[in-house]
Amino acid sequence: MSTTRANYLYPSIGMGLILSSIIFVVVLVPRWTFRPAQPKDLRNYTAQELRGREIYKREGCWYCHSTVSRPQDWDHGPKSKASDYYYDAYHLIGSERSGPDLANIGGKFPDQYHMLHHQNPRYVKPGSNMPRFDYLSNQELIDLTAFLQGLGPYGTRALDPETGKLKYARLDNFTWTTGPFKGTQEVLAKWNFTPSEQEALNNKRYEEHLEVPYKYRMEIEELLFGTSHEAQAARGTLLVIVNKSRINGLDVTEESLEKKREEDPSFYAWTELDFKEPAVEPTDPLELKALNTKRKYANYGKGLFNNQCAACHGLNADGHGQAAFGMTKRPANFWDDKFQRYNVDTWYWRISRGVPSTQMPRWEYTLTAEQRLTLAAFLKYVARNKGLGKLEGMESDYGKLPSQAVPVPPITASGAPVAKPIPAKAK
Amino acid sequence: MDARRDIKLDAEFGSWWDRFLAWLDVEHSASKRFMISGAIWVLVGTLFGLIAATEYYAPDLVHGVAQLSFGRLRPTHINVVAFGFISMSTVGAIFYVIPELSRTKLHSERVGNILMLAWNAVITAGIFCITNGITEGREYAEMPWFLDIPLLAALLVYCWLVWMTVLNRKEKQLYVTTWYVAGTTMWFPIVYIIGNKVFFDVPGAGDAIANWFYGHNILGLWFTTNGIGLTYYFLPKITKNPLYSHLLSIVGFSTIAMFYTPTGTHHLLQSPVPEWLKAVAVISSIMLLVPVMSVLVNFFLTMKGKWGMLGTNIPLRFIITAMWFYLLTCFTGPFQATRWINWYLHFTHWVVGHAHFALLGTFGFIAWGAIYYCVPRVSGRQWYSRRLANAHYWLSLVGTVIMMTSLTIAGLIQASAWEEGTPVYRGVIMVAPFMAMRAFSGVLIVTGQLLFVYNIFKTLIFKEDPLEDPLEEAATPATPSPIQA
Repeated sequence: MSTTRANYLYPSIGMGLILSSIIFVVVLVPRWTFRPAQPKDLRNYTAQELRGREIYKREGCWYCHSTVSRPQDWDHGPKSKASDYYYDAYHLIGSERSGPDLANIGGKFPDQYHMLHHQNPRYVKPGSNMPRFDYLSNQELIDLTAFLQGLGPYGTRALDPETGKLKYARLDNFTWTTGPFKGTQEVLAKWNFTPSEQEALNNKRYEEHLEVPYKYRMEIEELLFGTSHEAQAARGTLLVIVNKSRINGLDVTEESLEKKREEDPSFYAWTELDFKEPAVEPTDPLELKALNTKRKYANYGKGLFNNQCAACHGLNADGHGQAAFGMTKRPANFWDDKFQRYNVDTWYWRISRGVPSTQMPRWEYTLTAEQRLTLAAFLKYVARNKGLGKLEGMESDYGKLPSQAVPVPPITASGAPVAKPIPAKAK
Repeated sequence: MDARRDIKLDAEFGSWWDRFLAWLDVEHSASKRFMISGAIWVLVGTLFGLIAATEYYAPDLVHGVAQLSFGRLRPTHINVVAFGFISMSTVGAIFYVIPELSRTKLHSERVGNILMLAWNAVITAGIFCITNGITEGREYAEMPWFLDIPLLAALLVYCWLVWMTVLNRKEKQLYVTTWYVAGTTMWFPIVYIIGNKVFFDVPGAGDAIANWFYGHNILGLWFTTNGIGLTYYFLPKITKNPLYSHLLSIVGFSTIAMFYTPTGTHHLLQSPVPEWLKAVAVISSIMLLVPVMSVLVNFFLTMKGKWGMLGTNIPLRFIITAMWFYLLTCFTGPFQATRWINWYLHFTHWVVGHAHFALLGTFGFIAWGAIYYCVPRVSGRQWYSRRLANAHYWLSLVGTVIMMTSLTIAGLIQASAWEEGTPVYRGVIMVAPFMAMRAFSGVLIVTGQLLFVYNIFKTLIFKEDPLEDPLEEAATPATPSPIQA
C-alpha cells in the first residue's frame, strides 16, 4: 500500500509546486509590483460619489457598460490609464458592452440628462434597451449622477496636474474633511460655468480632434505630390485651398519630404489659404482672380453640401436642417467660432470618417477625395465668414468639377495664407 | 404502497430527530439529493435567464420592480446555474462515481447530506441577496462575503469527503477520473480564496487581475476538471470500450492545471494592466489546445465502433454532444484570446455566446448526462419516461444551438459596427432581432428543463413505474415494415 501511494505522492508534490509557482507569478507578483502611482489629474471620490458608485455596482450597470476606454474605441475619449483606477476599492471594468463605455462619461451630458435617462432611457434615447431605474429614489439618482459626472478627463473629478486644482467643476457646496478642498455642504456636483468658460471647455474638447487627423494629413500630401489618378484629379482643388511649400528652393518631392520629416516630424509641406472675404473687393486683377477661384470652389462645395449635407446641417450650414428635428445630438453649426480652428486636414478627416455616436456618415465611402476637398473649401469659407458670405445661389452643375484643374495664382499680402502650426502627432 | 410502508417503518424508528438522522444516513442519498437539487436549480436558473433575455429585448416589460431589473437578474442567473445547477449535479455524480472507482462507500453519507442542505441554503440566500442588491460586484463571485465564507467551508467539506473516500479505497490503482476530481479539490479552494474580495483584497486595476484569475479558473479548474473527469468515467463505462490511451490522459491532466491557471488576464487585453501578464495569458490560452486536444482525441477514439449507441443511449448522447460543444468552445477560445482577435471581439455578444458554449453547451450537457446515468444506479429505479428525456435532449440542444448562433451573429455585428465607428447604442438596435432569437431559445431551454424536472420528480419523489424502456437500452422496435418482412 505504501509503495503504491508513494507513486502518486511525488507527482502530486511536483504538480502542486508547479501550480503554486504559477499562482505566485500571475497573482502575487502583480499584487506587489503592479501599483500605479496616485494620479495628478484625478481627485478622490467624495462620499456622495462613493454612494453613487455603490448604486452603480448594486444595480449591475457594469454588466452592460464597461469602464475602460480602449485604443480602438471611437468617441469614448482618451485611453484609460492604470492610475485612473487608483481610488477604486473594487474594479468595475466589466466584460461586455451592451451600452457605451462610461470611462470618460463625465461632462459629456448635463446632469438633467442623466436624471431623465435613468428614470426612463427612452425619454432621451429612443431605441435604447436600457432598463428603467424608476425604482431608485431621487437621492439615489442624484448620487448616481454625481458619480457618473466624475468619470474621465472632463468630469468633476478632473484636476489640473500642474496646479492640483479642480479643472472644470466647482464644488462650492461640498464638504471636504481632508485634502486641499474645503467647502461647505454636499450637493450634486454642478458645472457653474460662465458662457465664455463653457465655450473654452467646448474648444478644449475639440482640441482632441486636432491631434487625430495625422493620417489624413499624410493622405493630403499624397494627393499633393502623388502620381496616382486620384491625386492628379484632386490636385487642382487642393491647390485652391493650400499653398504648396518649397524646401531649399526646390519643389517638394516624395524623397525630400521623407527626408525633411525625419528631421522634423511635424513638418508641413503646405500652408493654408485664408477664405476670409476681404472688406472691399480687391482691385488687383491677380488678387481678384485668386479670390474668385476660391469662391468658385467653395460654391462647388456648396452644391455638394446642398445635395448631401443640408438635410441635417441646414441650407445655411447653421445646423438647423429639417432632418435635425428628431436627433438627440444636434448637427454641427458651422458658423460657430470653434470651426475657425479646423485646418484643412481636420475638415478632410471629419468629412471622411464621419462623427461616431451621431448620424454623420463616413463620406469616404461615398465621395471622392476631390469632392471631399471641395466640401472642405466650402466649410472653411463658411467658418471663416460666419455664414454664406458672397456665395450666391448654387452652381447649376453642382457636384461636377471642372475637367481641367485651375491652379490658384500666388497669393499676395492681402490674401495671406493662414500659417497655423498644427500639433505633431500625439505620442 | 412503498411510500406508506416507508412512513410506517420510520415511525417505528423513533423520534423526529432519529428519523432525520436516518434520513441523512440512507446509502447513496447524498448523491441522489445533490442531483435532485441540481435539477431544480437548472429550472430556476434558466428561468431567471429567460426573464433577463426577454427584458433585454423588451426593456419596458417589467419596471418599477428592483428585484426584476436586468442588472440584478443577470448575476442571479449566472450564480444559480453555475453554483446551483452545474456544481451540485457534478458533485452528486462525483459522490456516486468516486466511491465506485474506489470500490468503497462515500466516507460519510451524513456529512454529504448536511453539505447538500447547506449548499442549497447558500444558493437560496444568494438569490435573495443578489436580487435585493447585496452583491460583491465581481463576475462569477457576486455572492456577498457572508455567503462566501459558508461556501468556502462547504467546498472544504466536499474536499475532505472526496479525499477520505479516496484514501479509504479498496482499489489500489487511481483512475483518471479520480486524478481530476482529487486534483480539483486541491486547487479549487485556492482559486476561490483569491477570487473573493473578503479573502484577497486588491485595490484599483489590480483587482481586475485577481477577479479574472478567478473568473476564468472557475471554468478551467472547477467545471472543466470535474466535467472532463466524469466523462473519463462515463465513456468507457457506457460504451464498454477500454480508454483509448492512458498516456494521452496523463498528458491532458498534467497540462490542464499548468496552462489554465495563468489565462485570466486575457479578459483584460486592452485594459491598463501589465503587458507581460497579458503575454503570459495569451500564450497559455493558446497552449490550452494541448490538454483539450489530448482529451478530445482520447474520447473520440474511445468511441470507436460505438457511435451507433448515440441513437439508443441517452446519457451517452448528452455526453458526446457536450464533447462536440467542448471542441467548438476550446477551438474558438484560444483564438479569441489572442490580441488581434480579442481586439475585434472583446466586449461583444460573441463573448456571452462563448460563455454559454462552455457552461451550457459543454458542462450543462455533461451534468444532464451524468444525472441520467447516475439516477438509476443510486436509486435503483428506472427513469419514469424515456420520451421525456428525449424531448429534454432535443429542446436543450436546439435551444442551445439557436442561442449560440444568435449571440455569435450579434457579436460579429457589434464588432464590425464598432470598427466602422458606429456608436454603441446604434449597435443595440442592429442586434435587436438576434436578441429576440436568444430569448426564444431561452423558451425552448426552459421548456426542456420543465420536462426534466417533471421526469426526475416522477422517478425519485413520486416513485412511479417507468412508462417506457430504460434510457440506456434500445427503444422497443416498431413493428417491422412490410418491406423488411
